[in-house]
Amino acid sequence: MMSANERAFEAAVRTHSRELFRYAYWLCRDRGRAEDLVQDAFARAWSSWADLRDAGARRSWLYTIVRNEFLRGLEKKQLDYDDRDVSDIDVAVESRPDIAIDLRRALEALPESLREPLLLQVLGGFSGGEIAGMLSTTEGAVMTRLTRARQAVRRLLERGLMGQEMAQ
Amino acid sequence: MNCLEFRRELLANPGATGAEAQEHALGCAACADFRARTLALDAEIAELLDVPVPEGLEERVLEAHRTGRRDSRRRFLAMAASVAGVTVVGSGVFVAMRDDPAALAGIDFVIEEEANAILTAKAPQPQDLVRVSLALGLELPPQLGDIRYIGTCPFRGSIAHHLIVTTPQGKATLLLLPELPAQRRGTATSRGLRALVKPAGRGSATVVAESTQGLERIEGMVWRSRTRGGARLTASARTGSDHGQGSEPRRRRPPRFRG
Repeated sequence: MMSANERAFEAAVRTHSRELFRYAYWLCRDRGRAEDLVQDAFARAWSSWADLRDAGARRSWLYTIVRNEFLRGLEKKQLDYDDRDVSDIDVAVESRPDIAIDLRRALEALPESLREPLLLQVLGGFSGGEIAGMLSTTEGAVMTRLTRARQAVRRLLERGLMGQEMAQ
Repeated sequence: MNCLEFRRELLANPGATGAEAQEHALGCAACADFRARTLALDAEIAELLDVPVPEGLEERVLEAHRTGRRDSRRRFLAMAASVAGVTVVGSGVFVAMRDDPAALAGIDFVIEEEANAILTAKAPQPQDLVRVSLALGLELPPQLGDIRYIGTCPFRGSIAHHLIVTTPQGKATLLLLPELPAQRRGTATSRGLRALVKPAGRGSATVVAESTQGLERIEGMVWRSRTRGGARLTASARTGSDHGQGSEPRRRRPPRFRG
């Protein structure tokens, strides 16, 4: 007979494993390691499961554990950030399907400090405030990083197009 | 709200802009267009992030929870795959073919550094590319595909002449390395890509492609037979299948670059 905690844990595994895998994958970009991160994160979560009173915070808590497991592997406690305000925003060139480098490569090239909040927003659907809590920073800093992340992706794609056009 | 403020807010969270931003977009066609393109890009990003999840992940997590140890099956498979890329059975002898470190470096470059290399590259100099390919005795025939990018970048402590080509088998990266010799042909498979490193003149070249077929096709075209020191000025206008050996080019023209 499973305890209430056991049942809740199993439900969380079934509900969140897939999205946590995707998050882990985009942190480390290795499918095997991503699965390990998810397994380790749930193992760590279980050790504190009974202490978590707010079931509504469980999802963001699990994301945070995955992130901490990832950082532990890097032997880093924090990523390097640049939170200066964004003072210029390029107007993007026309979107074209035949981009020189694909979006995947652009995302992979993003610094972790920019890719991470973008993942949490686009993949996890978290708000700026929630992301700030998970990354131990301010909401303003998160918004700046999100702006920078999208600018960087645009620039990477645009540079690819420029490369083509210059070469023509 | 001005255009900069609008775009800053939009890029921070395209899906939840405020009333003031909505009002700005109604009166500013450029920003409305910017918003449409930003939303389209975000949709593409969301689709890309939605990577396939390994079958049975939840069950393995729960099994690890029940038994107190991480599933070992996947680890064993991963280890086996990394030790031997391919095992060939021939004349009763097993030969394990290891991934070539130089070829693996090509894959790592494509995944981790290529986009940054493009960002920081200087203006492309096609004439340099032609000169280097001549010096290495390599060809870049138009049948190779559309050259989408050229530039130079650091690679393995040397300067690489870097190309991205769209071929019928998908995108491929070529790194021409005039100062980096290779002793022999080597290959690697990693992270969903295949790579080849091979001697060329006094240097070498590395090719990274999405499939073995694509890799072999590029190898066959770029390292095509040639005369010593030889140097066909890239785009030979060959007839027929363009895969024939030893036929001479009718005319000479530079590589084709097409967007």
